[in-house]
Amino acid sequence: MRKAILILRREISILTGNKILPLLIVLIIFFLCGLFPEAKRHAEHVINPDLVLEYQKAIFTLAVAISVFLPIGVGRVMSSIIGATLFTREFESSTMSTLGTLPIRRESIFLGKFLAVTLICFIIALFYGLGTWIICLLTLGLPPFNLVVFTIFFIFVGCLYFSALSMLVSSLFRNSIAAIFLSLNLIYLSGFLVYSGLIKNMDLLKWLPEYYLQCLYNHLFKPKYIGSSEPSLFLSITVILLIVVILLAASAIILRFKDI
Amino acid sequence: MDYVVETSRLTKKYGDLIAVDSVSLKIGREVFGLVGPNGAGKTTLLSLITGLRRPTYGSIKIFGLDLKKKEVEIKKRMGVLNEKPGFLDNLSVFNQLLFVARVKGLSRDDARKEVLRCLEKVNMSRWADVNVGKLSAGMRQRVAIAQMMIGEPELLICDEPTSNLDPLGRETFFSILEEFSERGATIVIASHLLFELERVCTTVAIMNKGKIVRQVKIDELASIIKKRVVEIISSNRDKIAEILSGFSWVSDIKVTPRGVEVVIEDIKRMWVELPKVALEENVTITSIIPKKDLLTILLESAKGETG
Repeated sequence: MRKAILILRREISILTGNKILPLLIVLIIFFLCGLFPEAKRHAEHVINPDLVLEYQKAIFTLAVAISVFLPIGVGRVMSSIIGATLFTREFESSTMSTLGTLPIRRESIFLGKFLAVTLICFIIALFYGLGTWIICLLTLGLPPFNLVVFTIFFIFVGCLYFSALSMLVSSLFRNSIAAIFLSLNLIYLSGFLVYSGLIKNMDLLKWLPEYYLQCLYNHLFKPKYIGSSEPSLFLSITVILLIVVILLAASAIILRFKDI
Repeated sequence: MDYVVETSRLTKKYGDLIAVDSVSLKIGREVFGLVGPNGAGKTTLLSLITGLRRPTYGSIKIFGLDLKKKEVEIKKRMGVLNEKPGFLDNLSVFNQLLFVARVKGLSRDDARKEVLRCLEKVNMSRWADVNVGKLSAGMRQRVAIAQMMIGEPELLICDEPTSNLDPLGRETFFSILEEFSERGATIVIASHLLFELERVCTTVAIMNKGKIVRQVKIDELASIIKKRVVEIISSNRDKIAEILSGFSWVSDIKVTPRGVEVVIEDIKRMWVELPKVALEENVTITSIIPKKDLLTILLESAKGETG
């Protein structure tokens, strides 16, 4: 565990010192512009369908978009990029061969990196959860405590799932661009299949983690809209966490036997 | 005899390609050289021994322990210099090595002292706070050597260690190896320059097409190859020719467009005496190139012996 902590600290120093920040700023601007109309619809459900009609000013909708909807998208992309490059960048810079010759188990390397990702996911969730609270406080008054907790929890679980999926991709590849591309595509393909309703009638929906993430979201933020056929809150969260564990176990096994 | 490194029928396959083919090696407390042409399988063999790659078949024992089962215990006593040393460009030299020292189990204070000691050895102390990304290839190689030395390992594994090093850097590196050797450490060096390995190695194994084709004690090399023809590259050809004419172990001096071509009768003395005198006389030697490829001679002789 001590060595996993050393890896965690190393990982944090890499992430705070690398050049991922400009890319994220570009992504934030992209999402802000691209998702603005969608966010308006979204905000109506999140806060209060009656109240929100009175606050349909552009600035407010934008604020809600930034604080509630946007982080889900940005958090998704951010955690995917971090997860996808977790191992590939070590291979690209040959630092994996340095790590591989040190007296540290590959499982500890994996654990250290996973802890770093979890910490980052939590920071993302916490940051935007607080953002939601501040924006709501300034516009609608003191927000319900549940809303803040749910936002933090949902974004954290979502980011954890996306980063676990990307970590699996990262453990298979040696090239960061390929790993990021595949991770984002897998995530968006899965989201597209769920939201577009393409496979709704094919009984395949229940095999997609994104479906359970969507159900979890509904349970937390839109309980009125939950259909009788949808899985329970307990099942939604269990499936998501189980998928995270399976993805992580698969990545750890691949890394254990992979040639460095 | 207790061997430090023992491999048994070690094989590594990549699909149909056999990179290492049933290699059984026994290395005691000595300086062991592994030579062979490019693609012979030297790097793959070393990466199997260091645990970077997993063998397809065969077993590896280091310090009498099974590498598969006791990887961490073994690696605590091992120092590795990879062919392409990888560093985090945005971390300082000191922090980079501090991490390695901490992973090797040293306390924070001991790790700091150890890092400074190792940097001092490779003349990199004043670069300790500089980010590795700002260093030249040669300086990165020095940092990699310092990294290998951390924790006074009992087994050193070096893959193409002198690539990117200038003559002074090579001199420093070989003197470090000599120090380790005197302390009883086992050193395994892979290189395609047999010429260079002769200086430090006690045994040399020649590898070709994934197999060890020949293993010789360094003293036996002299009986295989009597004389060496080398080209000494220098901008000051006349001066270097004058210096060389003063050595008893040199004959047939010819000035070439790049430097001087000579026949060397005692290669060990050349390595010791020539750089020293060149430094005293302030003459720069860019490189020393063997004109006759020793490796080819050895490979041919091995082929002759095996039929």
